[in-house]
Amino acid sequence: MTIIGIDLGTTNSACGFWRDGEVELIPNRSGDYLTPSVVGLDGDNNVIVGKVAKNRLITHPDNTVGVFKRLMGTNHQVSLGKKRFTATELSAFVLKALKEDAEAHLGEEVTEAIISVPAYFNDNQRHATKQAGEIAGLTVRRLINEPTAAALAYGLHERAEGMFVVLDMGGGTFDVSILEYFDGIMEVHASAGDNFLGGEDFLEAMVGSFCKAVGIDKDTLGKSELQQLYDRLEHIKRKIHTQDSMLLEMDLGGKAVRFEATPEWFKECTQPQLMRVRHPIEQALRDASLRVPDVTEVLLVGGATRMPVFRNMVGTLFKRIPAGHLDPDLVVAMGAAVQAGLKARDKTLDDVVLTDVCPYTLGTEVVDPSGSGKAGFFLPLIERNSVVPTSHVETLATVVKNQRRMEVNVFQGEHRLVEQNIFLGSVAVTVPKGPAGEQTIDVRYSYDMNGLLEVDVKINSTGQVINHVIEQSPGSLTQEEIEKSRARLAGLKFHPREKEENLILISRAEKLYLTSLGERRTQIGRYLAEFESVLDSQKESDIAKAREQFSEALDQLDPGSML
Amino acid sequence: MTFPWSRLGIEPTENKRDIKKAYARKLKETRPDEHPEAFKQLHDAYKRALWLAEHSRTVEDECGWEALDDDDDDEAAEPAPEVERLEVDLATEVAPATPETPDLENLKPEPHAAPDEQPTIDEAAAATLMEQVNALLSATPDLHLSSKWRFIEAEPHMLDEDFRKEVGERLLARILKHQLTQKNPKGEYGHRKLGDNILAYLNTQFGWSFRFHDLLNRFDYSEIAFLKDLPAAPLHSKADGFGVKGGSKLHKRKPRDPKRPQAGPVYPFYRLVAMAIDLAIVTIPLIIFAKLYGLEAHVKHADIAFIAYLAMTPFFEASKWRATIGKRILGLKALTLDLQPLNFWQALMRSLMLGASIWWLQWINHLWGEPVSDFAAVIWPFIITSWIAGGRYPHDLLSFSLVLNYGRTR
Repeated sequence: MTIIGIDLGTTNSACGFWRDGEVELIPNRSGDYLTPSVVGLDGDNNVIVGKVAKNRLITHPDNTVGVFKRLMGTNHQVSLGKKRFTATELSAFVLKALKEDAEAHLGEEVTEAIISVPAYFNDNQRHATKQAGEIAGLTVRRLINEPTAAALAYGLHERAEGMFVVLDMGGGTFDVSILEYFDGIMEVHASAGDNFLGGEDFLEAMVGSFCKAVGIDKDTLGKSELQQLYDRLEHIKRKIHTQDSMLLEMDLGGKAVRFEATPEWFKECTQPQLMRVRHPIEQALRDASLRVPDVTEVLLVGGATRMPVFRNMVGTLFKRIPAGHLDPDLVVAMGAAVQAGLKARDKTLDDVVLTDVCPYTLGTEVVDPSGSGKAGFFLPLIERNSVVPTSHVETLATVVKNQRRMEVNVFQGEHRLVEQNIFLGSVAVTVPKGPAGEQTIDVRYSYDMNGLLEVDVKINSTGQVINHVIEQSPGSLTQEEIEKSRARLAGLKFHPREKEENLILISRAEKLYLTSLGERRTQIGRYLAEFESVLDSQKESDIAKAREQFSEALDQLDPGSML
Repeated sequence: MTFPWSRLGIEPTENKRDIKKAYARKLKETRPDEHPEAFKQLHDAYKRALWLAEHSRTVEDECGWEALDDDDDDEAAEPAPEVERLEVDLATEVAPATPETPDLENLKPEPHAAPDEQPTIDEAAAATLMEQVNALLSATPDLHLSSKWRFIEAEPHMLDEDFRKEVGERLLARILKHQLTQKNPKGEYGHRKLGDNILAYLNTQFGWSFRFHDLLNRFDYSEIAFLKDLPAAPLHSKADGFGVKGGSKLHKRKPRDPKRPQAGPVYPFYRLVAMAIDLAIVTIPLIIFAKLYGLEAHVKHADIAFIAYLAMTPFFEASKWRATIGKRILGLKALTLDLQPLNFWQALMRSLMLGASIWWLQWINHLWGEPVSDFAAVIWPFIITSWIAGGRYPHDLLSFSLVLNYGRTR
């Protein structure tokens, strides 16, 4: 039984596995290693994931959704047509697509996986990710932190020893991890991050600045127009540093818009985002008590780290040129695959051990320890950056006479008042009556290798133990709800794999049709109609031939967009 | 050999490389996912050994710890001991070989910038920035809006580390001065005192709290102690619909508010109101029905309404609502003692026990020659029981269930 390693990203996902002493990445149904994390439904309620869905984000914005990783760990839902989905369910679709790709590649059933999560994901978000795996039919053997995975892949690849700073900026999150690699030991010293800073935020800043410059209210734009604008600006974001200026011409809100984008403009409008990069870096360095000159190497992970403005900033901060020997888009998936090999106790990885830390402080709400009687004070149980797995017990007592209920509110954060921290859940217990302070409970926090928290409460006078539970967790599902989601999603079918190539072409042509004008548009329409009529004939040889011609024709009309 | 050396399986040494080698060797036998307890011990031993090696104390020496505690007397004054202890521990790792001297100069995190060396920065830009700050500080209410402070992150020179450091210190001095002018002789603050949200924002831009020890060269400890208590940085992008692309609609659902109690006790009066609402709901159709068919003379409304209430209750209480209509309106829920939902039989038990206790109380009441009204006979025992049993009624006790308040009250 093979365990696969999955990088479930905000914009792109990828998967791989460990075989014969090295990482093997798994191509998806369209032959790429990267699968866009975009999910859509077509007219017959078939699920579409990946490249086709990404194209349909422009042509069918109501039935397609991307960047939903941002919603992980919340109860928010997104409507696709008439159906509503949570981020957990949408992620399950992506995982299911990856699972099928892996099964096709390996020729056997795949039921176990390692999934990577941003290091700074909180308990709710981690639970949601694990549950997405369960809904997709995968037992999640381990959640691995993305920067840790990247360092694992890099460390094994280069076999270089020393202190590494991993900067992982993907589509939606930014993580900083400080690791030491020696004698096969990969030890994480500190992690910090920002869950709302990524390539998408830079893009959002560009869109905002663009709309302001051309005098358009972003909210008045149609969904399809808006997605086109995102698409065009994304293209500019990737290319701008190689050119003096790029021209953006398109019809928006009924008027023709012309905008000249320059590298200076890009730098100016994304500076606020860039400034936010420093804070987590400084925090991680401080937590690891590491000085800049002691850093052996700075590793860049994630597509957004390709931006030259980011590289410059990192370069000046660390006074060195950051390393990027491995593809920043795939290195997390490679690391997850290494972890899969570790988990399976692969012989070739016998001398590798990974130790990680808990990136934030976990604690509970208590009454002011200095005796003012006010509630709402934070008592840390597991300190930030303590090595995991770890557990800690604290004894808490009743504060009023004959108190019956004691509520253990679980919080994550660094502030001494709980209201400034993130609420994770609560456990309520009933204790026997008695004078204030006589009844005590032992609260044990156990933080495991997956970054998941377990809270046990023991009532000392009766010996009763209440465990597992974070019952009231905001984004978490019960086992019952997982089953329900799974049954619901099972009712939706994926497109048959063999039709994938045709679908990619059609979605690409439809997108082109929408974004082109005049003669070009008519021509695309004609090609599209021809191809569809050949498809209707259902003759395999004709279809293959038509597909080739169609693809070539599209390449000629639109040479730049093969991402 | 004693801890930590025994655990690592080596002789006491000051060579960190040897300690790491020993740790690596042992760790491969004690993998964290397979032997969590043993791993934790090993890791503690490793950290301790590294510390001892760093401080040239290969033999356990108690005074080493005490000396360190003295070293950080500035931090010992802090009110939150848990957080501070972590910082002391971390400080031990960077602390120079002579921890006995409480010398803050040596604790500076960035050795490459000597304090006397004046970095060259763009003075014109710095002056413009400070002018903007001055203007903002005298503009109410703008100075309380974090959006008005955003010009700082748009200032291109902020990408220059020296500029950020130097201007950050000047700005901090300016802000401290501003806060002081807002303080009247009684120690109260005026309406122009900057709030935590602005200070937290500025802190993320200038990284003051990370350079705390550096700042002590220029500021007094008591002046900047507030930096340690600032809330986490505000996440601005959270408000923008999370940046989700596509989808016909985003349905936002509020997370549960941690400050609101999840459930509270119920006052006896509350449950009577809930029951009155339920009885009214079943009685009104009953009266209309009786009027229509002229059955008024034959029927005792109260009895039939009560039986209808008892029959209806289990269905409601075992439903998703966990409450009858009246309870639902008031935000009450019936649950088992472990706060789990009732199944149908438990809910039925509750309703039967309610019927039985009322029937029994009435029967007792009629044993007297001249009974008090049925209502009074029933109501008093219920109120007394709930007083004694912490808000629970006789039938709650008999059916091992309870009713909690999940509403907005309390």
